[in-house]
Amino acid sequence: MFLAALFYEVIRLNSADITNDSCPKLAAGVRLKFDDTRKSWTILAPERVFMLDEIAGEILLGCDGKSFSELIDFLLIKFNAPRLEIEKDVKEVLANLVVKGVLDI
Amino acid sequence: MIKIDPPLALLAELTHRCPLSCPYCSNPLEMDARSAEMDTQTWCRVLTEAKEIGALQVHFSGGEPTLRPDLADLIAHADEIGLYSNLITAAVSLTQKRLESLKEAGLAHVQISFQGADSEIADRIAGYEGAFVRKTEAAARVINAGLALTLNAVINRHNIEQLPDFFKMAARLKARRLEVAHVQYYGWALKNRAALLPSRAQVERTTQLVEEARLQYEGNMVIDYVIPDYYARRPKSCMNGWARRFFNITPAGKVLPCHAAETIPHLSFPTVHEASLVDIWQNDPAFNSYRGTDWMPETCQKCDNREIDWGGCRCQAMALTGDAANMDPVCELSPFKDKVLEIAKTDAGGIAPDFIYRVSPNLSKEDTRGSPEKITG
Repeated sequence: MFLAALFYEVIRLNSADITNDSCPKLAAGVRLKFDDTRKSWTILAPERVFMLDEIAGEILLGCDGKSFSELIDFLLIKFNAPRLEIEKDVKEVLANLVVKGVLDI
Repeated sequence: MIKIDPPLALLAELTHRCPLSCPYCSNPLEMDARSAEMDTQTWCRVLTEAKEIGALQVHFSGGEPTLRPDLADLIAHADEIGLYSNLITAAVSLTQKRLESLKEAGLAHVQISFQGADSEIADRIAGYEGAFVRKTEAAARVINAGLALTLNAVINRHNIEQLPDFFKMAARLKARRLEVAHVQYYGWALKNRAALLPSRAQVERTTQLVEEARLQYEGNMVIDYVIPDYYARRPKSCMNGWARRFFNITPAGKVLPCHAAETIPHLSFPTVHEASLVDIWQNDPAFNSYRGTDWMPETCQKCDNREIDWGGCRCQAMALTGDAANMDPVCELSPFKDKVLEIAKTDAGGIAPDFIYRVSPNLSKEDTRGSPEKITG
């Protein structure tokens, strides 16, 4: 076998590509797990591990088949912030994760 | 006192047996025999211990890990205890049925290495007639089974001009990730360096092509890139630092901070038979020998990159300077850098010698069942 290096690193899709009907979900080979050792939600992907903060964890937990607008409804209950602000922030997070191959839309 | 973080992943080398004979194999020159391979129960215990010390992923590798009939059992165990399973395979005998059983067991991701972008080059480098066609078919089966696929294009002077074809092939096969990985010069590859190392001009061209392809495939395919670091200004962050994120377990059960660590002759490494992974990870003297920054030479200790590249690679320092505690000689601050560039110029500039092919231990007829005759030995 050949092993070059293991890539573990903790970019850019235009946020405008995500619409209200977009259905962000975990790509094949990507798993969302709570890690008891580090007490943190993690994304486990091919040769990559992403440690999630509390907010990113909530966003990813909501990526279970909901449309973007349903996801925002779900997050509005959890976070005390104006809808437009949440939409903008969540779009950025999702776009970034699409580029990294973590989410499909 | 050095802060010891939990590891992220382990590389489980289930066997050193392999149907391919790639001259850059990352296995050691001296390989474990089939009779020395650990049994299913021991591997399961080791996986459980790895999870207990914080590992999140297991890379099942080899040799060729699918030669182990118990691979699905090991994946099922990993899945049960919450470890993410990655299969690193040559894929020349990966049937749809086998893939489905591995997926059923909980496999998340498959990485298939390609030695070239066509049969002629790929089969010659792998030393296996028909390898390219078999790998291509297996890649399609991985996608059919609904598994994530990475293509690993192992770049050297014989296939470096095929890079544009590798991009197209990976996209056509629906890989979501492509590793463009220049051969790293340890073990078998070090033996074959003059046969493999590309020129600096070739590498610079490759870097440019990768940058262009990243933009072209953005959102569809992630492209990771590893350069041959002889030409780099600064060393790679090898294993993200010695005994910091990863460890490797050999078929017989030796525990190593990286797959080449045994090339450092003064270190002796523990086995899973005599100590637990928690004890090894925390206390083993070989694991602690190059951890953190205290061991570093003065130039590294003063360098702003000391916690980025962690002083580069200990095995490379050993191989090229004779002392594993020297700074990685590929670093432009190393007094050995000129020597490294001289070696590269000589090796890459000369006519490529014949490959010294890797020789597999105890490869039985069964292991190559259904395979055509190997064209080399």
